[in-house]
Amino acid sequence: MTIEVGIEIVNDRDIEVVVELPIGSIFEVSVASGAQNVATSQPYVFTIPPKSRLHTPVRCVCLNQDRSIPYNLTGRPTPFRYDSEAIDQSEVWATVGNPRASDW
Amino acid sequence: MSGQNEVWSLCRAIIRWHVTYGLQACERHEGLGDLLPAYRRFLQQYGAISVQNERAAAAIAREQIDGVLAWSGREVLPDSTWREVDAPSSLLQNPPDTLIAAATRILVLLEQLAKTPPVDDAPRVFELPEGWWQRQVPLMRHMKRIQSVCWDETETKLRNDFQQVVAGLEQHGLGGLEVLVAAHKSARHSRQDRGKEEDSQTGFYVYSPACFNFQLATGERTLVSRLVRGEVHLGRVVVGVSQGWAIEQHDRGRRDDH
Repeated sequence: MTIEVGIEIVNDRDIEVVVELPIGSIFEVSVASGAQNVATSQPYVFTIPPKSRLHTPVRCVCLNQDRSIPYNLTGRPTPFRYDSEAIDQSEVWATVGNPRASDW
Repeated sequence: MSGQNEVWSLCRAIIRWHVTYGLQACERHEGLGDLLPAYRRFLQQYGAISVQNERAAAAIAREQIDGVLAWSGREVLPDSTWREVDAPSSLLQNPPDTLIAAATRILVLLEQLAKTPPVDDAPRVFELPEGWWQRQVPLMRHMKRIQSVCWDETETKLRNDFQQVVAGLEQHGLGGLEVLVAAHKSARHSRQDRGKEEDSQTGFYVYSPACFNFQLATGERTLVSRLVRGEVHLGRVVVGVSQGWAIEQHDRGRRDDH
């Protein structure tokens, strides 16, 4: 399942800024919305010219199989990424639904 | 913990017996006339409260063993009591039959609980490492069990625990709390699907982000690190946009500029 997240990044400075979004970067919506949180399914690199803003969609997979598909919800980036070199929807759902407390 | 729930249920059982049958039984006993005023005061003090602290539980048990309630120690608790006081399964399997047996068990359980640190006082499962936005720091897997009477209480505790960790992130436009709470809910649903329901007896599990395979999205040029350093900031972030969203936003921006 692919969900797109629209992001607006603002560069108020006088210099160009390169912004990277690692694969698996997690965006959240409020729990009360009942909708899934999402993680980017590929890495992104954006170059934002001085004194400008970038509007861009990024492709994501969903994190919470038990929740509904998000649509037009205000979201936020989080400090987290889903840790994988390749994002597979089924694997993500299975992992988030079955947390592991140890590495073995 | 089940031990604590057993204590509360045993207290409720003792109080319930005295409120329901106590005065009549006391009046039937010979030679207890002098005790009646004190007994009535006890019923007034404890009859209307729900005991949820260990000091009150110990006081009730001691009164039952050798205090104002001692005369009733050999009275039998009706079987229906345990259902009425919402007894945990650990108590239902082996309920005490008399009031003095219930009181004795309270003191034994309290002694055991005093030796066991409450799980809620265990350290948080997750802290953001010092300077986390400046370097790649691996997050570790940790889990703890917390005591709650229901999932809603667990969610409140979860939010309190994680809120303190991510509190400073909001000023940078970053979240973190909602995704962690939602991940716990998803894990709970998965366990329910597998027939492994958590409840107030087993406790509820709290996991660190790494348990869900979450790591930090930090790095010199990443969005997260740039946001924390104030090098960029965010406008709107919309989850679940239709195709063409970027073009619409771009056009709207141009109209606003004019």
